[in-house]
Amino acid sequence: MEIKTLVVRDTGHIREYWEGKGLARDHLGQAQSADVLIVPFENIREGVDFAFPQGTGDLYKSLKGLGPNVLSVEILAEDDEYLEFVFHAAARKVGVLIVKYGVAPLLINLLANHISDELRAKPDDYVELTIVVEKHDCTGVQFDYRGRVDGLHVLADSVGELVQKCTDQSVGSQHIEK
Amino acid sequence: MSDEVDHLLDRLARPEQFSGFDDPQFSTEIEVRKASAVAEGDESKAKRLWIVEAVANCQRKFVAAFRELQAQRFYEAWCEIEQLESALAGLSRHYRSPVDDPHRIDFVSRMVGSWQRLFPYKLFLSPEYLKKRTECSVCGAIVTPRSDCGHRVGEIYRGEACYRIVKEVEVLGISLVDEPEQKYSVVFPTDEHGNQQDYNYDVLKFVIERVTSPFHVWSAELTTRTIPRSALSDVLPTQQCPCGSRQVFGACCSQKEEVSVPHMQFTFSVQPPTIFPST
Repeated sequence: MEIKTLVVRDTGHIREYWEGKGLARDHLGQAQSADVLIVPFENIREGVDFAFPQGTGDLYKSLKGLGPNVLSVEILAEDDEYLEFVFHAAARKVGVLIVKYGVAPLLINLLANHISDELRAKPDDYVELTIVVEKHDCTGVQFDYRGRVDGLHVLADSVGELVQKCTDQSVGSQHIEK
Repeated sequence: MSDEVDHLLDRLARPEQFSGFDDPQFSTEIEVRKASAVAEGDESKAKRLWIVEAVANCQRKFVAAFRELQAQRFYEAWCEIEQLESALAGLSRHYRSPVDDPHRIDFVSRMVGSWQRLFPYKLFLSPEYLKKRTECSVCGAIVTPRSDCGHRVGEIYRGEACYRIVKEVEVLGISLVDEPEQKYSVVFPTDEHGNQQDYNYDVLKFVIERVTSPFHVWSAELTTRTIPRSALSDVLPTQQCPCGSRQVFGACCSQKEEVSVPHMQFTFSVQPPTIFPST
């Protein structure tokens, strides 16, 4: 397997994109306001429109268990439309998470803990996850990480840089408004 | 202050000398004590007894895998090691080896990878499927993201580890992979007459003949060595290149004067026997 890749790109697959998919019909309000929204993979196989990677339900419970004062989290599926997809390869697929930029660094730390403590991943295990950071100007940046668990700091650093820029620009625009 | 559970765990110390893990009476004793702790509602004690049971199980599986290797039942050994890996992962949530590793759990964890790397298995069949209905092993509740029975996978309840029971699946396909989710389904090729072609286990045989106890330390270092092309005269251009590039020989090293091939160098901490069985 390749040692490590991080692909960063602009994306339109932010919260608004998912609103029209008809998922989580009874929790749309929470999905719109949550700090973190866990979304499914789309069309991963023929006949499978939406599915979450194995263990997403446990990740959701784990993040939810921290309480709304730490982080509000929602999953884009009702129980009756929730399907877990078990992939053939040994890579640990964490899934796709949309996050508000202010809590993105916290989320990365929590995910790193989840991967090592709950998934029992070893430092040289392979992990795949996608983080979509919603910026202060309501656009999105997607971070696709594919690599070893002990390389996750690369993702954390990259997300951290973006968050710092967002924070600086956000503060800057507030000053201009004054 | 140590108590009866500590004493039971002590009996699993130095498994290279004392095989408490293999004693049926010891297993029965743990079972009885655990059942009693569960009946008394003592979750903490039941969990500690589960740890004793799990340590013994890991030691037992490690020794069993070694015996399978000695008997040259390589696939059986492979599966035993796979189960051991899973048992170690479950144990690691609840047990941390003391510095001197008295139960040799750290040692066993290291050796799992060392033994696995010697196997020639490179291709596996691995299914992809959708989990449609899953239950909790502790309470039987249907598991969904928004329902919560409170039981966490891997945690110990009433002296047993919690896991998920998948009750309904839809298999979407089976793939050939080199890094499978589970390692049991090794591909065994057959020839045109349907006869199974076994793998070349020479490297495994080399090591198992030189290690007389599962708890003897050995290590392998993967290096390369250079051989003249003339030494590869029996390799056809259409066969995989011996250099390990995964290309065919004709398109890779066939025109080189010397070829660099993978080479494993072994170090044994205990002097291997001077007479080996014929292989």
